[in-house]
Amino acid sequence: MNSKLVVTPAPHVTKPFSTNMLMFAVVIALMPTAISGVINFGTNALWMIIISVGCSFVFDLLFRFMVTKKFNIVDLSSLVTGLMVALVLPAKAPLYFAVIGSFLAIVIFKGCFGGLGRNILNPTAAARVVLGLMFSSLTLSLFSGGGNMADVGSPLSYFMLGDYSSITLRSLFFGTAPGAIGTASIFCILIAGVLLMLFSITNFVMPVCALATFILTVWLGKGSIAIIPFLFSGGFLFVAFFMLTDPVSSPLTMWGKLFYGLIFGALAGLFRVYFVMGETGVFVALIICNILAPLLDKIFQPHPIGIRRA
Amino acid sequence: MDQRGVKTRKRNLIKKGSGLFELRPPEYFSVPLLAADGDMPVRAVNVGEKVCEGSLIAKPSGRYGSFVYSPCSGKVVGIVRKLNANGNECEHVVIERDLENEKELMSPLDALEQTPEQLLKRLYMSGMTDNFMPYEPAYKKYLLKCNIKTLIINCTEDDPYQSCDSAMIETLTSEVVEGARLLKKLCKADQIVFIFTLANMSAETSLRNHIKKLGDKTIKIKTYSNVYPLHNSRLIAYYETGKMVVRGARTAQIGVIVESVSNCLDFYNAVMKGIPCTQRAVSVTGKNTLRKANYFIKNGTPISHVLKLVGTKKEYDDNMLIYGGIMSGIAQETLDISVGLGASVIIFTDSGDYEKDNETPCINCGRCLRACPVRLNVKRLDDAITLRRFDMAKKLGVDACIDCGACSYVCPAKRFLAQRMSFAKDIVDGKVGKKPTSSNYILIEGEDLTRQGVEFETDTKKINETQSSALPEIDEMLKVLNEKTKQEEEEQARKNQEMQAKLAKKDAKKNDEGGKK
Ligand code: SF4
Ligand code: SF4
Repeated sequence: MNSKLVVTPAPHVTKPFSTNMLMFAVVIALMPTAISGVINFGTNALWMIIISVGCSFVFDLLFRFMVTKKFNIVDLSSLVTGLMVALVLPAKAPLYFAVIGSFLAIVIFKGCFGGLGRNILNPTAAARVVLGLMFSSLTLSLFSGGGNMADVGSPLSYFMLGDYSSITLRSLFFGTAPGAIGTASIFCILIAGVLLMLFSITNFVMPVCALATFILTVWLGKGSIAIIPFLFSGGFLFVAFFMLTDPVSSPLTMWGKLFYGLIFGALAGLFRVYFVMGETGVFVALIICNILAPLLDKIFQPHPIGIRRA
Repeated sequence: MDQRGVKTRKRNLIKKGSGLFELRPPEYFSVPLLAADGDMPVRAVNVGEKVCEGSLIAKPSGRYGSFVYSPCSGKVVGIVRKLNANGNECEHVVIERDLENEKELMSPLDALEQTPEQLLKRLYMSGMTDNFMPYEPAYKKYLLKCNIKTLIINCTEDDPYQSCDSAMIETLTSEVVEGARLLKKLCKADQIVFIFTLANMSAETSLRNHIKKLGDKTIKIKTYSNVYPLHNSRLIAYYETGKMVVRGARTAQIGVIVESVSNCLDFYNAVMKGIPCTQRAVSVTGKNTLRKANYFIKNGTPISHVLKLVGTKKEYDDNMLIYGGIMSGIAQETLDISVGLGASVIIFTDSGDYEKDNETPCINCGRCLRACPVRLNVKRLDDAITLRRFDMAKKLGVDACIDCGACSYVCPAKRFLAQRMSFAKDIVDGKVGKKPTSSNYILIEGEDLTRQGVEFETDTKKINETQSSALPEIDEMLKVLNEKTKQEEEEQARKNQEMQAKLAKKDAKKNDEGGKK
């Protein structure tokens, strides 16, 4: 028995679940959406995804090298961000969109804030908003008519003009209508989002609250006929299920999460109904909520029990 | 009450219903005089003296000491000063066992003598200590003159490796229940509640059957959901009454006393048979042990002896000896410690599974907040402590933390949360630097032969690595703290001076005016 005793502080066992596993689970959950995007929109979408993920990886590596002088990829979060950036871009966009988008997301909105866990804004949403501002006319025209459907406007542009008949719900549900690569197929988003919640990888409170207030605002603004078309178009569900639940930029506490979801749903609905903001609206709403998150945390500070009063 | 905590996977390596065994006593005992937190007892024997099983070897001193009795008959051969398994430095009495098997017992109390005063006295005399948090002498809970409503017997076994309580209930049901009833008589409680979790249903069934046979309406059984932690008496009292007492206060204030199964059994023995507390039921388990089972282990049995009898596998290089549960136990540096009365689990395993991962940045997921049973904002506390803002940590309520480790268990970023909490708590309490950090061994008198079997070395490099990565440097921290207080003092002094100067000016002005007039 001449071996050594190892000493570590308690607890001597941790849950077999790590950050990387969380990130990997999100990547897996995004896969069906990405695949349906590629099937619906063709090879351009595939190239967008590959370039975006590759660039994110390289940018992350280079940025880390610049900061720490070491080549090491510690987490898979750049993979998730890269994939998300591709999925929120329009399918017909030129490929340099992916490069600029991943640069903005990884270097500007994540790295410069201090890396994973320190970014205040959701990098994907921030990059998407900045891209939209940079190429505003371009994005608008790109959204109209994806793939083989030339000269067809994006579903949301029809809906916002009050035309609910020219796009069928079936095409929205399976993603054959024009739109961003990943946000089009509601079917895949719903399945993956619900699975993520069931395995308690993402929190269910935020999407549920967001859905509730979004439906309410749309109903109040445009009547009950607009609810389903507005819900299924323009990437609202994608944002609600995958980006709103991003742990880094959302509040910590349960009540904070609840109000975060409520505010996001209301803002997204308002931007669509009253400000006619199109596809970018949800991302702006998300960024505003990101900024509110620390405040919500402060308001809904948990009260410890059994605390000694001085 | 909603229970908070983490769901741990039960790792019952010990076969269910395998019973309780007596561990063959060793040649040499090394009895720690300090079993729990409390005042150091005064030794009542000297080297060369003859002792019987159950004869007194130490008397309490100070307010909360406890009696210590000899676990065997034999001769005192040495007195040493070293660390006990809880990491406190105390005297150990080394006893060489002989084969005479003489016993020295107290007189049993019969039914007429079982008044609360007599029972309390017997509890005090029996030398029992708690084997759950807070580790204190058992009688301390009963000293407050409060109206006790409920006596809770905690049979939850929240540690994934623990099964000694179930074994005790299954094999010695009537003794445990009688012990609980005696304790009830002592504290004049209205009812007894045995609490179980879903994980130890078989013990619950056997207890339920026994109680049905007894027909005692004041004994109740409750089932909690199987989440860790449940070993803290304050937390159990909170789940029972909805009120939480602060750290250091006693649950008797809110009418609840929490007891363990071992204490019931030992109290039964002390009252009905007059046997003082010299042994405890302990689960000896872990990957590297061969005969995993629940054993009655005598107070002061060297761990090396336990491992020799239980048998260890030899193929691993890095072993871990954990005293007191995988979730909140203490990983020991040496095999030169002995089993005390506070033991409930001893785990001997290889470090492979439990190698600490490196810390990664917090991803703000909030899992630690949901896991914390006392609802601390663990993530913000973590930030505050890494920034060395202990004032902020105090404001966030760090001293409510019960050191359970649920937050560290659940964190996906593998942050050392619980470790930081306990460190910050020590800083806030001003306790840092007072506990011994490495095992000092001083032979006071005579000789110590319990060290023969100790061949393990400690991997100090690893300890230093883990400690340094887990916690910022202590000296540096203290320096920062001192500086802060110094700065505050200086500021205060400066303000005082300013005030005085102002006052002086005013006075001067007044005087001037007065002079002009
Ligand atoms: S902060 Fe303390 S009480 Fe809360 S989970 Fe962590 S160790 Fe347990
Ligand atoms: S569980 Fe870990 S990663 Fe999640 S918020 Fe707490 S400290 Fe951060």
